[in-house]
Amino acid sequence: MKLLKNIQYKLLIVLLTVGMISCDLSDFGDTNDDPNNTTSPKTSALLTNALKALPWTTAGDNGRNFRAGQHYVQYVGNTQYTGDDNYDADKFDYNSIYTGPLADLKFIIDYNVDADTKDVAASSGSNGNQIAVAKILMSYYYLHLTDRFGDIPYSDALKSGEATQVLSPGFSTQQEVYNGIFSTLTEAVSSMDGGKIPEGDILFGGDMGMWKKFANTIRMVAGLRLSEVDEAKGKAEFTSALSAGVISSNDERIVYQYLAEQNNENPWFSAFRTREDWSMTSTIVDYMNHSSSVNPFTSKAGMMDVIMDPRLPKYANPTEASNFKDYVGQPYGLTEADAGAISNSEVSLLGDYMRTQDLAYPIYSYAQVLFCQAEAAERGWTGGDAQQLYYDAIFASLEEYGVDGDYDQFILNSEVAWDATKAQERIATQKWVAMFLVGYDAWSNWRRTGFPVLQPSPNGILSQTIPTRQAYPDSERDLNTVNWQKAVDNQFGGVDDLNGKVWWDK
Amino acid sequence: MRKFLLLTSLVLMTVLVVQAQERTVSGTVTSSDDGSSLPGVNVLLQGTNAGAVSDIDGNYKIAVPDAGGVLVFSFIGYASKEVEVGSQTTINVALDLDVQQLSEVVITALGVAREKKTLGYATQEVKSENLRVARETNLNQSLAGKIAGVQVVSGSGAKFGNAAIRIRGVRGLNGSAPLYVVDGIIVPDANSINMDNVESVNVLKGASAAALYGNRARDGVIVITSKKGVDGQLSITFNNSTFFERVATLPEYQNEYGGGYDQSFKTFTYDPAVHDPGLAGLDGASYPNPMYGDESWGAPLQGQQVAQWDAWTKGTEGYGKTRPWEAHPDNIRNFYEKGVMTNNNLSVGKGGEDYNIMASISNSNRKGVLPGSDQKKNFLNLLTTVDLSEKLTLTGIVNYNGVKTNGNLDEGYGSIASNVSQWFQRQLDTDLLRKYYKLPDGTFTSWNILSPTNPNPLYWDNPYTMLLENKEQRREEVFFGKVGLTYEIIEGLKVSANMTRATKNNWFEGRTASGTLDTDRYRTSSRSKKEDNYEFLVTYNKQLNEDWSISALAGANNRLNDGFFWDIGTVGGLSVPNLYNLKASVDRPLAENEKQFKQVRSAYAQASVGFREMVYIDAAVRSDWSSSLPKDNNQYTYPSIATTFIFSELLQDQNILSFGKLRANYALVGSDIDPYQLDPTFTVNNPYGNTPTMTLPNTLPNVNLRPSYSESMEAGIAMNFLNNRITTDFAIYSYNNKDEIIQVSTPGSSGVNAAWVNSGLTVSKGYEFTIGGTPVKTNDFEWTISANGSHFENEVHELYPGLTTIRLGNGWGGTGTTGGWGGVNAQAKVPDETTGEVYQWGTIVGRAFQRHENGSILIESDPTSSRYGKPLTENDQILGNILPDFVGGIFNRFTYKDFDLALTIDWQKGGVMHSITRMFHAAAGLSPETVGDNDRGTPQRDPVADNGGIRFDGVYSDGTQNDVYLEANDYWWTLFGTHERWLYESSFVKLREVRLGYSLPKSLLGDMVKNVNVAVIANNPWLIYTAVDGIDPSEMGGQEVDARTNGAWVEGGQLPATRSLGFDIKISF
Repeated sequence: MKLLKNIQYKLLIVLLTVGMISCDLSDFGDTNDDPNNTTSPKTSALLTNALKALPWTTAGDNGRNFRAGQHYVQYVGNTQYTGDDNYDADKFDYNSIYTGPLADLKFIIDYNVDADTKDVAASSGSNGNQIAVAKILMSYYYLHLTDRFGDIPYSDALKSGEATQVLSPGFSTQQEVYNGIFSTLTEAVSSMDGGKIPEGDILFGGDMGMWKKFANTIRMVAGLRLSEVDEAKGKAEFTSALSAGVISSNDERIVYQYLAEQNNENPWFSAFRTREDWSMTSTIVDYMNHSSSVNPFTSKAGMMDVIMDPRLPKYANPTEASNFKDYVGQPYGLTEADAGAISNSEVSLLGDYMRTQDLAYPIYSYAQVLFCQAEAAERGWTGGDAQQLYYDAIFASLEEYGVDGDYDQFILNSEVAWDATKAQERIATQKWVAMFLVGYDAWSNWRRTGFPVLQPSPNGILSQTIPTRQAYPDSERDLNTVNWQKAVDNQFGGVDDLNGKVWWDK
Repeated sequence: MRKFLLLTSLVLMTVLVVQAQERTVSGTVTSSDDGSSLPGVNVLLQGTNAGAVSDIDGNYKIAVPDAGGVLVFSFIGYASKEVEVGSQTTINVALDLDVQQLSEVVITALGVAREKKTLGYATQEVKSENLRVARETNLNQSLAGKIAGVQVVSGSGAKFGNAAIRIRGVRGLNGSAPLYVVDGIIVPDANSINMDNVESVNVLKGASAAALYGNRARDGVIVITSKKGVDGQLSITFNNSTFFERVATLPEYQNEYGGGYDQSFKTFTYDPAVHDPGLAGLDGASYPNPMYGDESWGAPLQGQQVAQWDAWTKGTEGYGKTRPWEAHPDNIRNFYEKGVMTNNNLSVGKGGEDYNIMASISNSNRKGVLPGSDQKKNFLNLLTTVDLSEKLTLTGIVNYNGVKTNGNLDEGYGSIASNVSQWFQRQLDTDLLRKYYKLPDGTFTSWNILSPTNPNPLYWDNPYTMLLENKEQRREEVFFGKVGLTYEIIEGLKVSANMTRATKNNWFEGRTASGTLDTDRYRTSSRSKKEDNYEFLVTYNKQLNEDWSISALAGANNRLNDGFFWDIGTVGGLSVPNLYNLKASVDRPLAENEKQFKQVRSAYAQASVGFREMVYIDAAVRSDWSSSLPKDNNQYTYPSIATTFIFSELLQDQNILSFGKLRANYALVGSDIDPYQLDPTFTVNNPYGNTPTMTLPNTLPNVNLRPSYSESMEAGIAMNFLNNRITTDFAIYSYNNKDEIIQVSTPGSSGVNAAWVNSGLTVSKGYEFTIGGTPVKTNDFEWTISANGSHFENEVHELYPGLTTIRLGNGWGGTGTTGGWGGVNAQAKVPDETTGEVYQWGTIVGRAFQRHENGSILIESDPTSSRYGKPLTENDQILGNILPDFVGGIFNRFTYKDFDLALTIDWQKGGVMHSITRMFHAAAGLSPETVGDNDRGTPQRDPVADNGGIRFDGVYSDGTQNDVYLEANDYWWTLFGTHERWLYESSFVKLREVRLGYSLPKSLLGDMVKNVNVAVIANNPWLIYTAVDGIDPSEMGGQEVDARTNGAWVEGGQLPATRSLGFDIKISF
């Protein structure tokens, strides 16, 4: 009995203890604080992350999503699985640009503006400089997006984390986006405060002068894009950007430097690690080749009557079947069966140079800037000499590829030599050659000017013509239905496909 | 909080009603039939209200007056027995089976043994001998066909066949695995369980049955009871089985055309200036066009001399020589080897007056059907109970298992199975590939070479290179154990304290050999999980008088979950070829790690009242406090109630209905989430060189999350007829899963891809039944049968406002945002706004044919279109549903004298699967449908110009028949990505397991040996019916998580099903 009482007593104590603890049963202290991630952001690291996405817009990544532009303008074709050549995808995913670089950049701005955090943020560079850099990059990404899709979430975008949360952003018209980009770029340049340079800047190493030129170059390219829809606005922005200072030599060309390591390598290098899926198209090879070369697949002679374009050996590999002597483009837009019947050894694959693991991949080349100026001069927007600017642009491009020694001969080719009656075609076509593997931007130029003259794939799957835009990702249709429907109705008569025309494409 | 205090006072009150007794009688109750201990036996002191119930080991204690009295032992299914106490203090009783009654005692939540007839909810038990007909080593697999409402999604035996199960389908939006509880220990998964050591398995299907286990039991609980020593005797059992395993189900292949993209051959011209002299003999030889074509659209296989891959590969015997271009019809079957598995188990046990001990050692060695694959498993189990004093019992349990698996067992695109079965070529000779996969100088060969002058692979390594050089090793170690003390304060009132721990550690090593297709690489990762439970429990059982009985429990638990994970891999190649070490990484290795910790505090109570063994009412309540929810919202309390009415008690005077009961229950179960979902945090990404990067999270956290609740109702009826020769049970149920904590997708343009919310309403409902019986029973022959079937559905009623669909899983090539190959995916989809139609969870959406109003496929009639003569298709069409309409099984056992034959058949009707394998077989020209004559009587592979080709059966928009012939490869490639064409019902009927056993007559055995049983067993002997030729729909899963949700509807690059035949011998001493 005594034992029993003793145990009863102890049990009582235990239960009372449990009861007392029970008052705090909801309190787990810091148990639920995430040990794997930080709540203290470092804006320099966010900036680097946002910059790493920059070449998605030109090189593409390893997914087909960002590479489609290279196919639309027929720089490359598929050796076997010709879906990309034949427009088999209409929807393209832009979410990773919003949730990746754009969200990171918006956070940098907010963090540098918010009175509570701006002092902490300043450890990574002055508030004004960080804000300027973030705004310039955001404008660049938005320009890329609107040119591909048309109206996009812009003024309503990236507000998931705000007090007035927006999880279903409305779409801004392309005109609103362009206006926003122009004013944001101008603001960004003026908000540079001469203070501490931003850390984490893997593009320019904190050189604010180059950021200014980058901003002006974006504004110049965007201004020219309005040539057919709002010439006055386009001209005003173009000339203002030009006089504010754009990139002015090959030393200043804007490139994304890939590294000689697998985590940061050129995606074309990765793509060719195990496969040979990308050939040169006959479209570009026949154009660049010498007239003595007849393409066995197209029976067409090369267009160059003096010398072969000296950039061709950089762009393309000679074929194995010719013992690595001849350049042969594969006809663009074959069915898979027809492509399969052509052996990889018979066509030129994308050039080793373009697949260099640590290639400095073009974002904006000096040649492109000069071609823009040549076009503007030809339009009478500026007082420049269109012909001289055209030749300067070609020289800059040859110099960029280290083949400027052939310049004098090259411009003697009758297809290349200045022809005032075909000035815009010459400018646009050579610009297309110079912007090799900067697919999306080259595609925008083609849509706006119609040059070079390209034939659509004869085996188009989702489009019988060369696409003039890309359809929104399913996520907008499924998760933002009302706004998506409105945008598609307003622009494209309710049809979200590859054939709508964006606002500036008249 | 108040509830908890209520509980505490309840416990206190029970403590205070303690009364002293004169003396105690104790003992063990066993079954005279087999000597096994009987838990749950009522022990009543005749003429009084004093009673006791035997515990899980059959032990009881009862207080009796000094003068003694008569103890009445009663137990359903057994004849009651009366024993005069006299001066005895220990009374061991063996009860005889009462053939007039039939009942089972089952182990319910928290290890409480209950008479099944008293339960107000559905449970179903399987005893070990029925579980292991074919000596199955995976618990989930062994349940196939045996439990109503359980669907087993097996994995291929070629990857050692783990299985996942769905209990009552998928509940809510994110169905999860059931909870596995072994002797009161919550274990990581079904693989941790040593099937040799299992006495019985009880499946608690419904929320009410499982409510005491809390939120993790929403998807059901599987309660496993281990074997125990037999009282008073030493028992030793040795069991050996040896199996031989072969690939069972393979698709059929055509054998008329060989590899290439084109039927023409190329001709080789030897040029001594360029080519190796060894190739001189090949001048003028034909070779496939192109050499790297990995499809079978090449030239007809007519035995002509052709320079094949080995002709261009220096070091092979065929170098510089042609070989006949001929089919190797069994080249894929020959690729798989014969597997062998041996299983050994030794178990030793003994029960005594105050102890019970059981030890078991098992090991299995298995060589898989995939070359280079093997698996070793070891299990050690020890279970002891010791009565430290009359009232204090100690339970100690230690279990360990280790599994080591070697082999490249990946499935899916690019895997070994897709190398040999989705692409490949009909003329390839497997023996040659095996012989020359690696040359003496260490270089690897391939059947898929770039060109005559370049024997490097383009798309595929030699499959033997993948298997024997790109090796993977997986190791797993699981430990779980328990220390428990139970003290009986007074008769019927016990307190116990238990601590349990279960840990699971996994290691993975993978290598990509230097000189193979991909960059050479070494990767290693590890994942650890640990769960500790500290439990305190008070139980009280009493037969109050002839009419009333009560059992009650109250408890508290503190659960701690730890998790740890790391993964490191080399980048950019290995600095020293074939040095598989992280130090050899050319570039900075990729490394990441993560840890998790979560704590849940719980309190619970349950009471059950019985009246005249006719009416029972159970009520339970549980409260949880979870560390992963916001502090102000982290407590959730949920009740459950169950009632039983044994109406046969009222119908005594008849012979037809021997037993009948109605049951009904209601339960609410609350849920929480994984840790760290509340606060925004920044993730460190891969650096750029030495510059660090960081990014915002792409999922929006939510500090306002609250617990979610699932509400369930269930009713059932059980009736036995004709002296229990026929038994039936039927259950019907419905669950409302409301306000689940889910990640809803958001448009990326908002800045995030997903957000955590409380949202949604899904209704899961269904029914299940079992019918069993003993149709024939004579002295020598007995036939018992048990059949079951079930139907379940899961309707989606609401998601998040503005959200019409959640993608549950993408099919092959789909990306969730752009589709890819038309983007087939499985969805939870809200009801159609206009028609009001409600969709099931798991609705498959993808690309379908457009149809004419007469039902025919619409064909493009515009000759200028690239789609001319091809079907018109539409994306985003509803194509079916993942979940089957009906699953069922039949278990049969025949005994004739000393022979014993058992077999299980299970089947599934409905459910839809997407066969990527079949799609590739057609596109790559491998399947029989890609050869043969067209409707003009000409081979379809002949050019259209020569009356060949093949025509889509369909009509133009004006209703006229399509008459455009397409080249065969164009025709079959056109169907690539047209999902409707490659969807199949996942219906099947399968003979899963057969065992024919023979017990040696006792006269042959000496005194030492109690029993010897030898058997022939077969696993998966016969896929009786499949709706997809050459593919076994029941073997599409196997990865625990995926199979239950996504994986079980997409089949692609799947390893084939296997069958095994073996011998089993069991000797008991």
